[in-house]
Amino acid sequence: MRQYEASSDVIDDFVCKLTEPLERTLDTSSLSEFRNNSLFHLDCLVEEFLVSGNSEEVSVALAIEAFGPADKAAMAMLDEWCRGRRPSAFSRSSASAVWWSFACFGIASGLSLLAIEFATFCSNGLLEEAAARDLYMIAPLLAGIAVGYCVPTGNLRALCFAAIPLVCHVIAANALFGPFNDGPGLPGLFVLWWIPAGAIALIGTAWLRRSRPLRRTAFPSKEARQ
Amino acid sequence: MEKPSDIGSDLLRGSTPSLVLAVLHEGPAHGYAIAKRINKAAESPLQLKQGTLYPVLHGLERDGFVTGEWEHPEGERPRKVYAITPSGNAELVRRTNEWKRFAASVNTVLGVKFETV
Repeated sequence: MRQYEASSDVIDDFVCKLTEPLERTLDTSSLSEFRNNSLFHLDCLVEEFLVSGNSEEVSVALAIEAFGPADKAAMAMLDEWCRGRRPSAFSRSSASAVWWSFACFGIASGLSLLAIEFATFCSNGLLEEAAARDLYMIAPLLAGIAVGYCVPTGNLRALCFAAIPLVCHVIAANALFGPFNDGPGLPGLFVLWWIPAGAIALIGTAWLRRSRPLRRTAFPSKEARQ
Repeated sequence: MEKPSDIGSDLLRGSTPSLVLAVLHEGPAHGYAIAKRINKAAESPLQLKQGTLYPVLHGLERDGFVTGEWEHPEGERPRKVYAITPSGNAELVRRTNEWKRFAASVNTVLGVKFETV
């Protein structure tokens, strides 16, 4: 039973790798269809190799080999999806993911910055400045969780997804609200806290989402196969 | 020595939609059955990397050449069964004729003569 579960996890991991580059680019139904078709196909291949007398581990390895490399299948799907839509090379790979990331981090940092401004200059005690600063520290974690949930992606890309919008935000905030009294305080905060905290939250949530089981029905037991 | 799977990976990529339509012309099938038919019918020279089949099916469905319907058999995994449409049949005829012309031209240039079995 344990052996079977391990094999099933290998297939699940492969399908996750297969669909990961397509998240937030393909629409939900196309992505779900691709995922379910691939799961069914791989299970059939495993069954085929098991019937030929191979062990489960070998059958799973052979099934994955017959299916072909995950990145090639994903890129073929992306090419087919983009056919007729004429997207740029950038938007083909990750544009919607970057925009989603930008929206989450941008809104979070903008709102928390506004809260500090409000607490400092306008609230008349309604909002403590300390509370606003706490919100400013929590905001990258919330934004990271939101992006990680929607864009389950690799660590390096995740760091880019956290860094790109934050760097843009620092430039925009400096242009709109500067000059700041605290000199390099805001950019420093972004570099030292927002980017690592946001990226860690993003990677953690993406990992949690990736590790959710894909299957709704159990893999057939050995008894059922016989 | 040349491996069978080396023979046609580039050629196969462009021909996969035609092969899929030809398989579906004989009756509805899910993706696994289509891949198995293609790999079996060609007796090894065309070893399709099966993961690339679904992008092709997605494109054919979007173009209206095939339709797909999910089946949920009791106790088994759901699978999408594809069927060819009338426009898919017309497309298959068009692609077959195009292939014949192409193959004839290439054979002429290469000096290949077919041996009838």
